[in-house]
Amino acid sequence: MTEMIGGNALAYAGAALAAFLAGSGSAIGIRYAASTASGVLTEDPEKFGLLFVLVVLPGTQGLYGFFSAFLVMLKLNLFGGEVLSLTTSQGWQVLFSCLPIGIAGLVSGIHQGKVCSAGIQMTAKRPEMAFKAAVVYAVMVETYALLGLVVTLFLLFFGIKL
Amino acid sequence: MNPSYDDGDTRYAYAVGRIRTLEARLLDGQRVERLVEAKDFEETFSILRETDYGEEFGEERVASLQEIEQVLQIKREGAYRTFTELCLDEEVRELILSTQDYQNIKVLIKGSVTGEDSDFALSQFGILSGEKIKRIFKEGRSQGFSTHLRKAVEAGLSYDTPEWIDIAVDHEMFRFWSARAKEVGNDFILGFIQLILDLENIQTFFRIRRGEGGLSFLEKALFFNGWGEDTMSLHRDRFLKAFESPWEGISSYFFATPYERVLREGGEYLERKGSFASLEKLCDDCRMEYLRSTRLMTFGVEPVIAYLYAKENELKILRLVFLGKLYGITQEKIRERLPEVF
Repeated sequence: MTEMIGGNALAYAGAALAAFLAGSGSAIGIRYAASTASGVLTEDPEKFGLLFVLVVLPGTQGLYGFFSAFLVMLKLNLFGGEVLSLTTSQGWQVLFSCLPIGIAGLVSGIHQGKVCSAGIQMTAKRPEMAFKAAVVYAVMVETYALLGLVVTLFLLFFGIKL
Repeated sequence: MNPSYDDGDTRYAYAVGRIRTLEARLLDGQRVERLVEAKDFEETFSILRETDYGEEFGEERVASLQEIEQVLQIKREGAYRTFTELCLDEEVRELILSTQDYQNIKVLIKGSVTGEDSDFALSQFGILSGEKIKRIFKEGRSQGFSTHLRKAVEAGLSYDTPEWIDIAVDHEMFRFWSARAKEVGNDFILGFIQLILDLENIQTFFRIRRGEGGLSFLEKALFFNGWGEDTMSLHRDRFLKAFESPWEGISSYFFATPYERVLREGGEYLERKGSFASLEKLCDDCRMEYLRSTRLMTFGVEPVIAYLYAKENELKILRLVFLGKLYGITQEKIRERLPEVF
């Protein structure tokens, strides 16, 4: 069965998963944070600047996913003329390389959105804590998306010989 | 409606954001203390000008107690409007706003019994407006009410003393609340209704104990047991057993329940000073303590409900402070009655 699936198709699936999963995590995360921020801003529009960082933070996972997908395309020489032809084994390697950022991006994006939403609520009451605590806690969740990205990059650059 | 799960109901992300900002504008304990210490109305107004009440008390048009009451009413209306706007679940909205409908029914039945005009006491914040409830009631078209309100009207009309009308309508209200709360299935709401029910029973217990009527009166007046014996709710039997006990021993019947302190301290104050002030304050504080748990909830309808009651509590504090100033009540006495802030 797997022999029937082309290596390139698997690699494309990996790139798509990286962008789709991490992007979905970001979209859901931003939805939580932006909804809460909208509520705060309805009553207190002057807090826009303070809340902006907390709303955009869950968006980074989507960028990591896109970046990983882009690297896969570069690796396949998608923009350089002749596209490389991968064996099925190489295709699987690319697909699995994309999973760390895809899955870590999905889960961490959702949870980061919730942490940011809580941080926005704290900022509504204690604006001085916005950067002291709210952003710091949100960045802690970010760490795990970053680790996912690093693993994906190492695997793509050093783990696969094309 | 889905009960609270995991991090709460995320549909309320916007609502909770708004509520947190509004909560930050509620009066804090320090400001309330300054209000109590204020020498006169003018000083009270100047303190309130630093707060969310600045606009209303910023002009000289507020001078009499009646005008102050109007301002408080405007704020109350705002809180109910916010709640109605932000509560996304119709069942919950009806549950919370129904209190006002039952209140209106009590006012109308008592008015019809005593023959006094009580329209001024009608609340406009219920599911049905005060005017509509009055019209249906006066026309004698009980079928115009929902089933639960019709039952309350029938129950209230079967008595002719204000005290029993209150008790009869409240019994129907709690029946509706408990049935609706079970349908909604939200643990916070179930707990809150249980708390209100228990606190009502505690106050009824002390009122009947101080007054006339005896055990048979209490047996009839106490509300049912809430959700059953497997919960923390206070069983009716505890009250009935404690009824004949001397006041020092009452709290032992409620040992290890969340209300032990309310019964001990409230009962002691009542015995020594003959006033329900401490008991009422302790009951209010219990409610606030429960509602404060919503500060830890990131999403869900709970903070929206808590804000409504927190605002009502704040308006009660202001009313007590203003009345205290008007009648020259000492700071100490005002403090004794003031509930804690949210």
